[in-house]
Amino acid sequence: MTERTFFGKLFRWICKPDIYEELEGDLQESYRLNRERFGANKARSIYNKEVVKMMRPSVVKKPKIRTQITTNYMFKSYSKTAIRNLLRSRLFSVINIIGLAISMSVGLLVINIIIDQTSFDNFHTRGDRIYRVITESHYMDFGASYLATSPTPLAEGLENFSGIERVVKLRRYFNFDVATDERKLPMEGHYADENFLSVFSFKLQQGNPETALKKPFSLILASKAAKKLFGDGEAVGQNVTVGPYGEFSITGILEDIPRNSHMQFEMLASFSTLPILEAQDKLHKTTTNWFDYTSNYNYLLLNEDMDLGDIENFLLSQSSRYDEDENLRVFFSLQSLAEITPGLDLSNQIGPTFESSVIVAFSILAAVVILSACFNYTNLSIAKALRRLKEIGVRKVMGGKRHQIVIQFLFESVITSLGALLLAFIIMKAIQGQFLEITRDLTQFLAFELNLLVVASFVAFALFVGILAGILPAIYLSATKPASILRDETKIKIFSGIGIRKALIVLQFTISLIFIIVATVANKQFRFAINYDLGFDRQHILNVPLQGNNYQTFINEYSKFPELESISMSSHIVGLGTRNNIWVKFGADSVLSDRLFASGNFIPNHGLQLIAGRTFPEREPGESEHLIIVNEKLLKQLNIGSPLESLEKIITTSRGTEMKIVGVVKDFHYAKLNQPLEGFYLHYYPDAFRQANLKVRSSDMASTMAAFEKTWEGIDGKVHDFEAEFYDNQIDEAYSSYTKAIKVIGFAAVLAISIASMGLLGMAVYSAETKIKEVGIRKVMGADVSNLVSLLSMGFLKLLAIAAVIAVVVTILIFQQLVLPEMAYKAPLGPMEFLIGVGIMLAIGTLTICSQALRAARVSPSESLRSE
Amino acid sequence: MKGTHLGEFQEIVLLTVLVLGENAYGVSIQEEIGVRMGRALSRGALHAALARLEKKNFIQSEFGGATKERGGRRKKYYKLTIGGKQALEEAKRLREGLWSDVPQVSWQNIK
Repeated sequence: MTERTFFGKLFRWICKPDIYEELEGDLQESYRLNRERFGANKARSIYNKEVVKMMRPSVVKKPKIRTQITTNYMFKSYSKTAIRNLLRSRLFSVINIIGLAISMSVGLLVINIIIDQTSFDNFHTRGDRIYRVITESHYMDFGASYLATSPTPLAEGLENFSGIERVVKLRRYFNFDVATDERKLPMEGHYADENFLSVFSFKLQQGNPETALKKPFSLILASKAAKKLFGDGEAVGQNVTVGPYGEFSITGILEDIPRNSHMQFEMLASFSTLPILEAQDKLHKTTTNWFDYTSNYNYLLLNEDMDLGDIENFLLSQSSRYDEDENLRVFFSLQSLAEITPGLDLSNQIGPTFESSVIVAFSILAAVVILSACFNYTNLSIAKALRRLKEIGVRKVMGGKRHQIVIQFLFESVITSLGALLLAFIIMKAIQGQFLEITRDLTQFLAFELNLLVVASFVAFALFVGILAGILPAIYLSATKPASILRDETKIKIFSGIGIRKALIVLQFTISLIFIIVATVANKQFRFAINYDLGFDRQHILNVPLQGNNYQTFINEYSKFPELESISMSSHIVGLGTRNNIWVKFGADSVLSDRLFASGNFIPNHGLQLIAGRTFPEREPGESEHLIIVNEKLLKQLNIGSPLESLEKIITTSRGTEMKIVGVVKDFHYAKLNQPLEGFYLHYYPDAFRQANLKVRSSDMASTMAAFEKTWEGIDGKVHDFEAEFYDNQIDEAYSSYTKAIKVIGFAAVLAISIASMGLLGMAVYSAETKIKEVGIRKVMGADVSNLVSLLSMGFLKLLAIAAVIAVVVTILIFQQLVLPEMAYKAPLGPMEFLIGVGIMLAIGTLTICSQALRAARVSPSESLRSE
Repeated sequence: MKGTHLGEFQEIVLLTVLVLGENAYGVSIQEEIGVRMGRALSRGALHAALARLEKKNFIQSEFGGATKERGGRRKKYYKLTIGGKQALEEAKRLREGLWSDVPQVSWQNIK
């Protein structure tokens, strides 16, 4: 029960033993009450808060090591000595605090994300018993797909399964324009069955949760959506028209969906509507079709003590439903509600999710930077320890125990890390906004809230980092023997760890350099991709999503503009990563081909080159012959023959559509550059037109756009926003994964290089100080400044050179083995990226070292040799 | 005198113990005060108050039966002592005295 959790154990540990029985009993009883009221997650969180609030003198037991007075006294003494020591070597302390702060800011960000993400879906009272059925499918040897969806017919078997209390059937994409008598608004939602409201804890403000989603054509709205549609008027009981599906009656109003829900929607239609729509052929059949496992969802509410194994066995047995297709293998399994986000990378998610792997990647990044800063601390502490050996010796002679000296050192490191925490928090606040900009959905998805748990985790994290940084020097230095220290400190082999310290510096700079090079290479790939000749003209083209409006009306209205040079229609925008493919057959050959539904002037509008034949002719409505224009590659793949021979030939799709080739177009890049060019055809099919491609030449773009928008409002009736975007910008956006990578890796590079150079700075200062006498004597003997600078910096420069060589080799390996083979069209690796990276690193490193070497070499020998 | 002073929260706790009668133990007191004051009260804060009251000899406690919900731990029941009763009476008298001396005029003038 609760006493086995971390907080439970913590409470047992801190609580006075004579009152523990009463208090833990009470807490546990409250926990059970709360679990029935709010669900296990909430109850546990209340329990944890209760434990935190137990931290008060009347409950916490007194430390039994010493009496209160000695402990206080020792505490004061430790902190006083620690602060004095930190102040004595100010430069080192500042380096340590800044280095730790920079790295800890990333750690804080990760902690914040983890805490935020684990709070997802915790408001469902029965969340610990809710599971989702997920699907793994293998088709031929195309690799496995992992899907969040599962077929609806599966629900029937699950409903009859003892141990499952309820099954919720869902289908996504209930995204339509909803119209009342007065207004029409686009809205997004799902289809859900009547169990939805009893299994999930979304609260109905109005309406009956048992029946609201029962009857076909029922609709419930989230309160914000209801307000938009009806203002303050009564919504329940009203009828609205939903897209092409006719009248729905509103049966309930939901409280707005909490931000930390993995499903987001403005409205829900009753699932019982689906069979009717499917029977009318308005939707493809999913409710009775085992082979459609990509549209619908099954969520389960299990009984209290249900054995998951039984259900999983049952789900596995369902794989036999697919025996008839020997190319297809399908497996079902369970995923608990808590595992949805952060969770596996599944396709067809019902809403935005955060992959656990991303969190792991961020954590690793944070760990690397934090370890790097801790290395600095360790490195510098050991380096400056020579000055403190006498102190340790005297402490030991006076009766100081080893553990007290360890505590003394840890006090210093913890005070440093707590100081760094404040700075880290400020840095985190500054980079947080940048971080959220990486992806658009992150902003609504992640909230950086500061609650008790977050703050407590931050402090715990700082303590952990402090101990991590300080533990090595503490153990190492406290082990020295007082007799040998006090007799002759020069004989102590304190620097036996010198090899390790050099290795650490090399490692830090290697990592920094790898980051720098990766960022420059990513930048080069991005430039390459956006400037690549895709084989078609995209300048001056403005793409406008039709959003359900009639394409002919659109053409008629916009043709009036003199700025409009030409206009074409297409189903999607090529070159951005959206693909639509289908198996096509010619004679004995069949192949998976990409396609685009487009109008006749798509080809001239985009400057595509026809090798043979013509573009689609203008046709009367009602003509139903399917005409296509293929690319050269498809001709080759299907063995149709030369471009001229191919004209008038018929190709058949796997759905049985017969299509006549009327033209052949030169190959162009319809997909993103990381994917190779394959077979492709353009198909004249007006029903599928979703985008207008406007070629615009205007001397005053701003006013043209304003006029366009006005015309749009006339066509659309102010339901949808005018979403025009220039093709060039869309291409930039399509390759934004590069810009994101450049941002993240570039940031990591800045972190790594600043931490590494601060470590190097500390080492250079130390080495200059210890050699001050040697420098003085050499100067007296006639050495000049340049000799001395090279003497002081050579060792470090060698380390930098080693780091540069390792980093270059490692990055070349990473790119050639892992990254570049994944991309079909890429910029080759040139020496420039490496030179830039190495140059930056050497410049920063040399500057750091030489500044210190120069300072030491300039000191007058009379100063350095005067005192002994 | 500090030893017999009754803070406002302590007064509420004492009264709640009286209200609950035979069934006054940690969880029931916590819940009752939570419901009446309309906000959650932490068990830790309640413990501090109970411990102080017990130290002043206003209440006494004894262990009751163990139950499964509590992981086999016993409940600790609280009840008032004579001292507690006197302290409550004292507090009540003080308040009533003050109330009765508030002039009607100055009460009604506050608007």
